[in-house]
Amino acid sequence: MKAILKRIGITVLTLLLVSLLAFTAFHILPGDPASLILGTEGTPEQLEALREELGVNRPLWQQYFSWISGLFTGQLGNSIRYHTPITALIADRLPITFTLSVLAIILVLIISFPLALLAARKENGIIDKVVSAGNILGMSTPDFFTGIVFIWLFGLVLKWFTPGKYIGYQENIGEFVQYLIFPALAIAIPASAMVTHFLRSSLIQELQADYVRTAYSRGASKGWVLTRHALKNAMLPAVTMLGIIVGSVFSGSIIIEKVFTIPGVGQLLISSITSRDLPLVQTLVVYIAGIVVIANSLVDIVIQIIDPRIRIK
Amino acid sequence: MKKLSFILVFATLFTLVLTACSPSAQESKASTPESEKPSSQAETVSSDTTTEEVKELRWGSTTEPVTLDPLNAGNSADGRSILFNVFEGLVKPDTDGNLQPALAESYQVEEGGLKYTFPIRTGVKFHNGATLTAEDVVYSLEIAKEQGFTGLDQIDTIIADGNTVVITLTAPDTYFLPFLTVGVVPKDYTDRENKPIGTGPFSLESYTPQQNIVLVKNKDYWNTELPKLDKVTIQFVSDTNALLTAVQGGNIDGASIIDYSQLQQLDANEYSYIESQSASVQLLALNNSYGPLADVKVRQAISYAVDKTEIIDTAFYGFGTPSGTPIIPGLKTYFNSEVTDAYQADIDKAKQLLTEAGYGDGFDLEITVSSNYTMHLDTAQVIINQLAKIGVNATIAQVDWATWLEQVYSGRQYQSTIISIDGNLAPSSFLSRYRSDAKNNFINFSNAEFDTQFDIGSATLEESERIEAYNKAQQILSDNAASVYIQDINSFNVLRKDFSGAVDYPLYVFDFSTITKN
Amino acid sequence: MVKKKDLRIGIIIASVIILLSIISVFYLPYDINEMNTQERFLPPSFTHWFGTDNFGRDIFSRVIAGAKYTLSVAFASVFIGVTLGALLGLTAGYFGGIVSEIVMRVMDALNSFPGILLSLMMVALLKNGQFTVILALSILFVPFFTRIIRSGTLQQKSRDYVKIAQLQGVSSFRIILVHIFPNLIPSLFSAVVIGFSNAILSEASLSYLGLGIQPPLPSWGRMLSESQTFLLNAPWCALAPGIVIVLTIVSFQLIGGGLSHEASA
Repeated sequence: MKAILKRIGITVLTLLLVSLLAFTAFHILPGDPASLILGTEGTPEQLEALREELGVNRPLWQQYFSWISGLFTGQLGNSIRYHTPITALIADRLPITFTLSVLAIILVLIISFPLALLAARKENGIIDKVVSAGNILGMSTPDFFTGIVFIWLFGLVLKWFTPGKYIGYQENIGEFVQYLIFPALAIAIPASAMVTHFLRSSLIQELQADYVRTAYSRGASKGWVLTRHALKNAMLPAVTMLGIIVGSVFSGSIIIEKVFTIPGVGQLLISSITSRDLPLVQTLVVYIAGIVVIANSLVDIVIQIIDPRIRIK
Repeated sequence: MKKLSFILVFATLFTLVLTACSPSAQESKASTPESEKPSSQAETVSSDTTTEEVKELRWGSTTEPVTLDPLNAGNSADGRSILFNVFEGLVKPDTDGNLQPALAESYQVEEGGLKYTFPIRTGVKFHNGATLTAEDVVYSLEIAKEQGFTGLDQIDTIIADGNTVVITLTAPDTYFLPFLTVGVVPKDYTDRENKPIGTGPFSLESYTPQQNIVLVKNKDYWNTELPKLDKVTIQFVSDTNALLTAVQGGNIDGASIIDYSQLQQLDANEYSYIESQSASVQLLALNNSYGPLADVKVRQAISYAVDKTEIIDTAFYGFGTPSGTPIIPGLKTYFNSEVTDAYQADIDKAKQLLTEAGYGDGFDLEITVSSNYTMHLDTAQVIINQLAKIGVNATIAQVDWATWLEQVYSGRQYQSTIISIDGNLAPSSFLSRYRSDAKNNFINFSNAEFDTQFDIGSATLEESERIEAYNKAQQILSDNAASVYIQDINSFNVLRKDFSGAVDYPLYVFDFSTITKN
Repeated sequence: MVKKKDLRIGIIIASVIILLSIISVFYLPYDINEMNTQERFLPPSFTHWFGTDNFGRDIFSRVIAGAKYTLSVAFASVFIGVTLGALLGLTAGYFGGIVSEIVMRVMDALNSFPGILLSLMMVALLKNGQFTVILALSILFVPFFTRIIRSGTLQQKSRDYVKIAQLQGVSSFRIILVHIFPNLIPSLFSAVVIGFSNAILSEASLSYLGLGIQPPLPSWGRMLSESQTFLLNAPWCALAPGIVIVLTIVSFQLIGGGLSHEASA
């Protein structure tokens, strides 16, 4: 219990630091947002009024606190480029990116567990070697390149799906999810390679443990030992990786959304960066980082509950 | 649709953007609860779906309008092209480039172009159901004048006399009509940015930033034959890659595509296209106040080094009409075709001019390009090679659109840039920015003789005299190598084959009203 | 045994790439900027190994010319990352206490920005360009190296030779620099190589998003995004730079993996 509380405390502290980092980064820059917005034509009166409206003439700490409270209440003001509330812009896109990420995580599990089990069956066997080579390749291939190859191969050559035929979830949830499968796969590949690699090593380690030998001596088959004993014990360390996967999947979706033209949070982030819509960038950055931090600590807490022997670092 | 332009100067695009703060993205829908017929179109259309198919066109675009307000002079060309379907002025261009009465029933020009009289078309209804009056027109034009729309500064008085609008100018101008295409809004209607209300063939139902603009049929449109579609959704995508993908994927039915290689990727059995001139001139704008470029010989050298044909062949697959002047080739009467080849590519001459100017060893030149325009980036890559041959070491500085407007267009803090500039049917709209004192003279061109010729051309009532003066003015721009005018870029309006009826204007607009779905 | 082979393969691929990029400074089969409308979209052949692009430029020449930009950006950002990481990690590890706590909390916070997000934030704040890219990437590596160096420092600190030096009154600065740091270098090798491959990946991602090295300088990521348009008619425009990116990253991953195996063996 104490450990869980400590973990929550660290999470809150990290979130605070993350927000502080993002806030300072966007406020140490020289330049006045008001004159940036008005261009060269602003009269001093207009500038002053705008500064008032944006709240940029208040002390920095006040701005920070009103921004933080805005992160919770959704009162974050308007995007400079789209003059619509930042919260509404993000809320529109969140379901898309969320679905994409969840799909990707599911795919990671579907891909990595069988591969790791197969590879661990016979260390340095032919399957193991192929899987290891695949892991290196998977970890080394940028997800956007995988995405492009998918579009070319499965979309344009084999015509398994139609690139660009994105359907909004409001229109047809089935087709929406269907379109997201290839992008999710492109995101899932590097993460799967990581998990497979990690799970394989812990499985092989487990296979050398005493209880495995005992099981063998009782006549258990290798497959039985792997799935019933070793996997169970190798699972926990693998679950710790879930936090890292969430981070990798999230940052993967930023780029993949551009490759497959999916109007999600990632596309919003990229376009807000190119149009220097700093309030929007700042908020997006903190939300994305926040989700990853929280996901990480949730994973830790769940592990702690399942198996209190594991010490939280 | 990759091109920008500006009707007017110094309309700092952000002023409006800022004043418009809608409470939420959803609420920025254009339905008007206070109107007599609350959001009639939207509801009728959706109730129709049960009985017959909604004829919808999904059009793709890579640029979003800067504003939805027709009276904001800072809109981009793409933004105005969309609003062309929602708003109308007293007059409206037809596909031949002639002006036809629109909200005016007819027009009368008196006192040699000093006084213009417009009887207002009766029974025209705004999208909120209110009837158009002469007061609405006066109100709209007065705001447009305040906002600095080109040409409207000539207005002395504008009065509503019953059902007639009378405009008196400070000096006669027989070429005043093209400036009256400014969109008319209901009098005292201020929420133009969020809930635009016009009289056009389509009303604006909703705008969801980064996603789409939905236009629905105006059932009360005064021209009862139009529009033929029930609904037009303008889908925004991030770049030309995404645009092509969406056309291929069938998510959009049509788009304006500039890159011919992209056109080749489309299935000719499924799509038809019209080749169209963009009605704007692409130029390598040289800041006449910047260091080496202040010397006319350097600018001439650059003009000799830049090979327009090579640019068109290399970056535009041979599709484009070369020009040597800011006036579009489509404006045949005024387009000075003699200056097109005034600077035939000639490396030796260019080098010699550079040596004379004291830059025999060349110099560094930064070309600022807005990153959302692939065609300008491509052009810049070709120009860099061409300039390298005369020892000018050019580099590209990519900036985003907002920065470009601020730094280059308003701030004039740049060395050179590549951009397309459009105008309207009045020749002066292309030339006025080169007057020494013009607020939108972003290349800092200053030439007394040009000013004189421009003023003669603008003041005269004789067509022949005006042609002569404007020709001379173009000659002066060319002789002084004010900038390198490259071409009128061709684009391809691609449309899925079950749509027909698209028409081409000699202006930078796209008209949805004539399109039908078979 | 397998790892040794990995290391060898990695070194071979990496050497070829580095060699080609050095050669590209002095010699290229074709001018990387020369355009030729007659030779647009030529598929790979003996005259153009990787084919030509939409301007008729030779892709092979552009890919090997692009290597030096990618590699130098990666090198610079890892170098800055290691330097800052060493500074922070040595200080935090040696002095411990509140300094260490603060440094490590900040590093945790930085680390919780997933992948490329931190770089994107930097790019949003600064002007586009090579220098921004280097800065944006190096900030990714600071927490990574700080952590490694700090834990190494903690280990070394408890060794006798450090204690003796402390008793002899040697200054902390000297102990850190002369005694501890040199001992950490071997264990840093594989981390640096892995970091290097991450830097190449991140640079390619930024360039793909149009936020990296600016045109007309050839950059692998941007070549990929530019050629996505011609995927149907000219897939080689995208495949060539893509495969080279993968090969480069694979080679450094293999070297990194091999080195860490050697170190632990």
